[in-house]
Amino acid sequence: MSDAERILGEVKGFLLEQFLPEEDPAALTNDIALVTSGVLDSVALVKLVAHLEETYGVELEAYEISADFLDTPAMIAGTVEGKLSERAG
Amino acid sequence: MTQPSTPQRADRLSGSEFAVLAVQLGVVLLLIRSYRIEQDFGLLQLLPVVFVGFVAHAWAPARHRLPLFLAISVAAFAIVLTPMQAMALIALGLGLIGICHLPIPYGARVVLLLLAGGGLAAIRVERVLLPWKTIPTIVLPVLGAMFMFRLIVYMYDLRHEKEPSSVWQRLSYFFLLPNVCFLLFPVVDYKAFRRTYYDSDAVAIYQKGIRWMFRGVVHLLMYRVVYHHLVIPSHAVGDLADVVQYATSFWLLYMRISGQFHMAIGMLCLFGFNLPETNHLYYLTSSFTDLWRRANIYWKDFMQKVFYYPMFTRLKRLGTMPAVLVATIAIFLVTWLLHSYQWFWLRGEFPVRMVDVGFWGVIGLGVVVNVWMEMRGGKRKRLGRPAFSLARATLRSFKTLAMFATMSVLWSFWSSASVGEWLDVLSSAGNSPPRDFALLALVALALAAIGVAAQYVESEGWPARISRLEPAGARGVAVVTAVGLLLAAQPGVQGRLWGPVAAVAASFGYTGPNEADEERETLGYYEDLLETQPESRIARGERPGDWVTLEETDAVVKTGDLRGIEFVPDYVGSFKQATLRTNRWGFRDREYDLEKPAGTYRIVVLGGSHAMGSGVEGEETFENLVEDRLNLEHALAPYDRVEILNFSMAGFSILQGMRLLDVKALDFEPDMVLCVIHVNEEVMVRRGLRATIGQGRDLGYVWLEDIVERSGAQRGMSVVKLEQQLEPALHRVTEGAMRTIAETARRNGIVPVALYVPLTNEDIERSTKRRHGLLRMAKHAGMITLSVHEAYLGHPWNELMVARWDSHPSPLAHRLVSDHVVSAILRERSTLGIAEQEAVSIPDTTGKEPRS
Repeated sequence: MSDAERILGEVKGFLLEQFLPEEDPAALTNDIALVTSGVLDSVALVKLVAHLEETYGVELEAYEISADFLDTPAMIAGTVEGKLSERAG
Repeated sequence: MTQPSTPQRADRLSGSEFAVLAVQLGVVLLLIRSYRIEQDFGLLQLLPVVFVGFVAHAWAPARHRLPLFLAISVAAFAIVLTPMQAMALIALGLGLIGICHLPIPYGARVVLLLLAGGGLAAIRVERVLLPWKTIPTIVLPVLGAMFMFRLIVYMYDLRHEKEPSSVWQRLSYFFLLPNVCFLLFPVVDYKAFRRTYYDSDAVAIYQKGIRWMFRGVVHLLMYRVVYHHLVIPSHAVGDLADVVQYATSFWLLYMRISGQFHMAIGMLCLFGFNLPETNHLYYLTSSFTDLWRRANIYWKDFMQKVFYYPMFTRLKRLGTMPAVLVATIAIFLVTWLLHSYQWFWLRGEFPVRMVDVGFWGVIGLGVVVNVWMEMRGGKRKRLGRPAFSLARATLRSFKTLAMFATMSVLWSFWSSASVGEWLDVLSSAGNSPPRDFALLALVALALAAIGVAAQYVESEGWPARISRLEPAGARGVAVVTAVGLLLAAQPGVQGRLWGPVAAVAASFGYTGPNEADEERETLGYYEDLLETQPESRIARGERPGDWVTLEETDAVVKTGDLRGIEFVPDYVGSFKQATLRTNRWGFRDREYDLEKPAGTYRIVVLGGSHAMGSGVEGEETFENLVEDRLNLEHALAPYDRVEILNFSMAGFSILQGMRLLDVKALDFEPDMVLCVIHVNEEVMVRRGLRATIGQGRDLGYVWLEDIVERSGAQRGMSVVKLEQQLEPALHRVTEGAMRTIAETARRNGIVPVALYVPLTNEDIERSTKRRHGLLRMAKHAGMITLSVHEAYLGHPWNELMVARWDSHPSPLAHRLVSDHVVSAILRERSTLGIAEQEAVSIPDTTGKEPRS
């Protein structure tokens, strides 16, 4: 399993546990919109950001807390991955 | 994110698709025109620009569309404002945008923008005077509406901009076509503005724009129904039902904002800007956070992006929960400040009111508590439609009802002048018996049951099934509604409708003020702010600084009785830019002897500002014109002469007239006392009586003291409380004053007459009931009644008003009234007891046939 897949799996697990406990995990696809569809609101977003920063040791800028960076599970994982690459690079 | 510099999906428009869209847009624009929707804001002037602009834009090559949109916007500015004002607006705007792009560090640009803003603010409040008077009062409010928030968003996004946008996109973002009419404008996000430009099929975007404009029309028409049928003045609130109606109507007035927002964003969709919804079912919110996310969504997004998330990232080292709570509190503080900041640019004042602090404080506290609960317990969401649960649906229904009630109460609080007055109004609920409270609880239960049923229907997917009928089904409903509304706009159709339906249809088309607004009571934050629109702005900009009330001049001195003020004798000065001259007896008229000359028929006139002639020369008042014409024609022969002595004073009603007759007018031995009354006579009576009690002046009449004592009104009460106490007694007070005048007159051999004169902006159809009521009351009190309510028919308001900012009668209006009064006196001569002679023909000097 690649780093990207592991991050994506972990992010989806967090989303299901925290915000979608009654949801079928299969329904949470990689590209399902979460912010623009209203599933994740501002409170959920800051909780997610706090989790990502704590879990992966990355730091998100204020302008990155938006649908442009965190709308889907894939985008969330991609943002984390990008941050990790920046740090490593 | 990237966005195309030219639209990528903009060319999928066939001739037939275009024809369907154009017809729909035409119908919506026709509706706006038929109902004169927001005409005071210049919206009707914008309609041809929108239609022609849409056609030209839709067929223009994709790469030319942004420059074309900008050109259309600039043309609209020049049409709604003036070309010179539009040029000033654009020059100032370009200056601000230029500062954003100076080749200096970001921080320096921000400082320069702040300095520029400070300079413009100084001009706005006229600390810095410019030779062009309309810059601070007309151009700067529009500039403020375009830049006060969008500049903040723009600078924020500029800092993080990955891919630069075109100059046309940047300019279009600020110079948005509908913004010139709608100064209260949704805070459009720059990134969303770029991202959504033709991000979908062009036809779908245009269709959405038309649908939202139509939705805006519906909201604005519903607003008129609420405004004219539900809003009640605070002094009329007497029990629980009134309190519910009072509070609910304030919250429902928000439909005007959502209507304008839908209209504005819908218009932008017509030009490819596929922006998101501004308000979403905000009357069905079930918590404060839910409300924050659904009402004025753009504001929430703006706050989150520019203040909330940056604050959270700075504070997160304190821990997630403290950071979130502090950031939430802070954005409500900022929201409060920015509402005053918005008020400043639109109205030129920076209000700091306790009700604003209280309003935003309560909403902020509610959101903080909700956020705290969500942070602690989490918030369960579903990706799809959740299964129906009776318990959950019932809870949600009650929460929604509670939220609606809370917002109604809060909105009424926000719209009130002071906390004390608001509490006085709400305490009226205590006058109702327990049965009324039980009934209210039953109504709430019934509404909750409807809410549960609606949620069941939703969970079964019925709305989704209906929406699958799109486009044909939904469009069909919209077409039927639109055609129905167009038909209802026709007076011939309204006359055939069932009473209540006809009343609602009539209120759709009525653009004048309601009873409460005539008294300037119901204007809340947004209502007051909306006054700063083109027509009002123009009027405000032109109004001279010396255009003051009579009480503010040195022409009057205070009295300790019902009158409150009286004229200084032999005064010569200026009032509303007309000469104000009083005679040796202290009334605004020519010189007369105290003793009536032999062979003279003498009339004394008792009235308010209209009869006094506010804003016109003494010789132009209808009273002097009537006197001159009757004498010129010897119309009252065998009397040699007619003398009409005008005792009227601005602010007076029949109540002060009663006192004036006793203390002054009787000494002049009149044959007739002519009381000039108008549709707001009782409003003026209430104000006069309230001021007399409030200032501890002498009421002077036993019957009046008795009524006041029984009403419970006392000195020291708030204005609202005083008026509430007096409200049930108003008819008796007005009729009592009429009766006292009639009895005094009869006792002295004088003929008492009540003359109804219309206001220049009066809709005489709508005022029929009140007019008949007043005249019936006068007749019942023993007066002879005359009415010249048709005097102004066929003449537009702007010709009748003394100035665009003052609705008192112009010289023309006085001439029209004088024609009708002369005719009425001659027609009713025998009834009035004036010795008869052969009929005299009086020519019409206005050159216009009065219609009847």
